[in-house]
Amino acid sequence: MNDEELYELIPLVALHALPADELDEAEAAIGSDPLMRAELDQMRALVASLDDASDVTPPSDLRQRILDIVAVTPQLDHAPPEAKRPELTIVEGTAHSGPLPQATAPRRPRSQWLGLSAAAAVCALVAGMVAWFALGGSPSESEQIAEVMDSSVAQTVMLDDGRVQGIRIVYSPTTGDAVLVGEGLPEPGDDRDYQLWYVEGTSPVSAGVFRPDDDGSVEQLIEDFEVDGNEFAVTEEPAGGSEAPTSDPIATSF
Amino acid sequence: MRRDLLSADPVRIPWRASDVWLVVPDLFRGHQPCQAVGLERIEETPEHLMVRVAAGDRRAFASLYDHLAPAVYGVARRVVRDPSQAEEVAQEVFVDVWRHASRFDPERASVRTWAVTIAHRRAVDRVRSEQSDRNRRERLAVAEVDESLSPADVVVSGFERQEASDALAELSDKQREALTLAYYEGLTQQEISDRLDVPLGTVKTRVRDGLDKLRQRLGVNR
Repeated sequence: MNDEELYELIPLVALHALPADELDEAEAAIGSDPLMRAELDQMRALVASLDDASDVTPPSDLRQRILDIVAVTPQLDHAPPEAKRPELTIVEGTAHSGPLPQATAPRRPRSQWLGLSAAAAVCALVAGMVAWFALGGSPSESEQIAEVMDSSVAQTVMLDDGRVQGIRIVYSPTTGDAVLVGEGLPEPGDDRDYQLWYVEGTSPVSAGVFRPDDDGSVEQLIEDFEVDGNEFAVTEEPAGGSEAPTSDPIATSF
Repeated sequence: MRRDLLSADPVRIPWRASDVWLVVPDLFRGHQPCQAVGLERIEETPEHLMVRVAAGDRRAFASLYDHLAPAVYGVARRVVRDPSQAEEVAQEVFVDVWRHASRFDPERASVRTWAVTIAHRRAVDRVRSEQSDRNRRERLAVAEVDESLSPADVVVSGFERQEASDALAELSDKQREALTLAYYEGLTQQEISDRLDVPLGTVKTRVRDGLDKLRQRLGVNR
């Protein structure tokens, strides 16, 4: 696209009258030229003043809803550096002797998780928090699972790369808990378990072991677990799990 | 609370000073405290507030919301029509404003223009999304409700807004039509071309000429 063509697009960019991908492309190109950018800024100001139909007072509860979201939403200072693709390091022969705790993943700073989530994702956070506080006391595991699964702000990480499909992690930023959900999983064998790993840098850290039930389903709570933009992998390990993966992943999020 | 006061025992006058002390704050509950005591209120512009918001000041953000919400919600409402979707758009916009506050560049736009631009883009994206396509079929029905916004919902237009409205009225019908289809209907230039059955180049010309005319009429504002 030459400069003249780009210049012609400025009013259409100001009006958002191009398909989203063309809009983003044109906007980026215009942004790199100070003169065109100034023209776009002027056009945008004009377009914003087209609002001739008067402002409309929003519903009164919207204000508090937004303030509640903002209260738990960190600001982004700068664009985060591009995340490096993690590599799973496999260590041979480190079978773990006993069962691993269900949630060994260290708590990640919540702000980082929220920083990575889309703005829309935290929109209904308030409702979730209200529900959580209304519960009171210590909820049972099934209640905690329900809390995550029913959360309108739950995030899902699909572990859909690998030979086993159907594993996902549903995470609730409201409760800080996650649920590992799987369907149609093959039986790992009597002396084997599945083990979930989250990959921090290049080091996999265990997030616990799990077994599907007879029909291949699993729904396992991982307490106090933050997804934090990490990548995840599942391996088949000796029963009880290993300290580090001893086999290739059967499913990964990357 | 005020109703309780009005229905309180009328023989309770004259009030003692302590009664007044107790009553006055209730009467002014919900208003700026400085108004209640008659102090001059320092008006903070969105631009002032934005500096504090970028530094993480949530109270400033609340004030900023009060400044911008009618404009943001108004744009969302005009474009997506459906009130609940418009609320979602407004919510997304304000969370965006909060999260990306440090990206705001006062050299490039006023806070209002910045927020309205974000709101319009999000609203347009929404009406173009697959889900909204389904809802769009219902938009004619919703539009009727939209037109019937109660007077209390509509903030009195300022002088500038009136000026913009006058400027719009000065455009040719065809220019206004092209701008309106793009801005309020969220149509792309191709969709406008299809809708009006005119070449793409004609749409571009009408849009540009229309905006140029507005620029001459309104001057260069940010």
